[in-house]
Amino acid sequence: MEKQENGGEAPELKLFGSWASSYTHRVQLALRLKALEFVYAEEDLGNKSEALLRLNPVHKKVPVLVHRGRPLAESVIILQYLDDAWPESRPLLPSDPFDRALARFWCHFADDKLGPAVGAAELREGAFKGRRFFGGDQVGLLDVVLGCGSYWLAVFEEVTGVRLVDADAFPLFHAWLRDFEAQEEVKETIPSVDRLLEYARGLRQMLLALAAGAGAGAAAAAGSSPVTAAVDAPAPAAPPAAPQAAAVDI
Amino acid sequence: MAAAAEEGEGVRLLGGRMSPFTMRARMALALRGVEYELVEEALHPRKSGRLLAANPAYGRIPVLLLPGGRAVCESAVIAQYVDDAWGGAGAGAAILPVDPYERAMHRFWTAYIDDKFWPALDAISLAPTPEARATATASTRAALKLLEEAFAARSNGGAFFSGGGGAASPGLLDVALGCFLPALWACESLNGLRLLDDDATPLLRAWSARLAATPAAMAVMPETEEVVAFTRFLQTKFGVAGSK
Repeated sequence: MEKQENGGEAPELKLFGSWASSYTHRVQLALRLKALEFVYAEEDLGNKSEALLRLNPVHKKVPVLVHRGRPLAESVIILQYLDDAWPESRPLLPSDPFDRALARFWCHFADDKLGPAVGAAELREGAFKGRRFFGGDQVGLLDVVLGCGSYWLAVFEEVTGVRLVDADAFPLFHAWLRDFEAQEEVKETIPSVDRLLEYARGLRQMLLALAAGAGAGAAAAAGSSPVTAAVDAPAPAAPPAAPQAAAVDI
Repeated sequence: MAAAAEEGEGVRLLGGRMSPFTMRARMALALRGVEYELVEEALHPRKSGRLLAANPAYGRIPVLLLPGGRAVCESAVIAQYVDDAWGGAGAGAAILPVDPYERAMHRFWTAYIDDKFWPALDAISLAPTPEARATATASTRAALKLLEEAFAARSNGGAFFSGGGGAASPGLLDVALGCFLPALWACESLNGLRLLDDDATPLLRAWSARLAATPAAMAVMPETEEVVAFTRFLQTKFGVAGSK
């Protein structure tokens, strides 16, 4: 679906993002689910482009979607925009007003309380109600929001050596994640596990070095990870600070 | 499309008269002409079992209780739900704009108001030190400046954030920001500040008077003196030095 930017007229849809950002993945996935062509521009978050700062002056973050020259920021807002602007193609939100309210509420809760790295397994276990996805038989808004980030689970379990969400205790969650990751559009969007692992290991090294350099205070100041705060699992030996830093837009 | 109320069981809103977020939900209900019962929740000394059962994720007001017992939480979600559920023929004016980009802009600025503007405004009166108060005031002014620009862009010469083209009715962004006007005026009064003024925020200043005069706002906004008294109560409760 992505194409190389040509030197001619401005593309209809252009996405500014970062390859490791869960928020960016949400928009990429949604665009693919809706079969919308777009041009992608990778941002170096350590050296943000003038274009990004001009297009998102309020938050200066990715993702930013530009449609016919007008910028949109904040991933969940972008997702709802896609539904509003392309109502005929594979809706992300349900059609019933109450179900829409539920999807909006849980997206807000997920981003507010859980962080993008992982959602609470109990949330997913409790909310499935016998369906394959939150959106029913097909991936919907809440699946995109919670799913883009859940793949970090396996990565951080690998990097930290800590079992965060036990497959036996949370079978529905694991089944949902497996089905989510099996979707063609998701496979096209999620970076390879190797790349994610390398990124996570590098980040963890950096954070450990910073903590060692600044003393115990810095490690405490890094804050409790939303992963450990939100997941009802045996307490890990060392709180993985990496998941929060890795998944948050910087 | 309107949800039919069961006999004797209507729409209820768990909330508080002083709560800006409750006001936001109530203005949305008023705009769509929905009849409802306001159930005032006393949050102190403890929250009611009814509230905690209705909103287990956050345990906070407002909560819209529908006939049959389903609940909608979060004021911005409630406002959009009210717009969706009570639309259709004969309904009051729409709360969300029709144009997809405008809808996105209303949602974007509503999130900004909740994440950046309100915490700063709230922190002015409840700041523990003069320095903290000054910082909160500066943050609030900065947020209002951005919202002034947003008003210019979105209103398109019209009376409200909901745009021109004959739209004479408040929209989501109007109620999203408007619900904080009583708190803002009380803050100005308590702290001897001008937050909305003709130099920095002339458009918002004029808009605030227009919004306050709408039936939806007049139905729910308390008098500034009441909010001042309530803020003084909170200052005492949190051990904050009262404003002179």
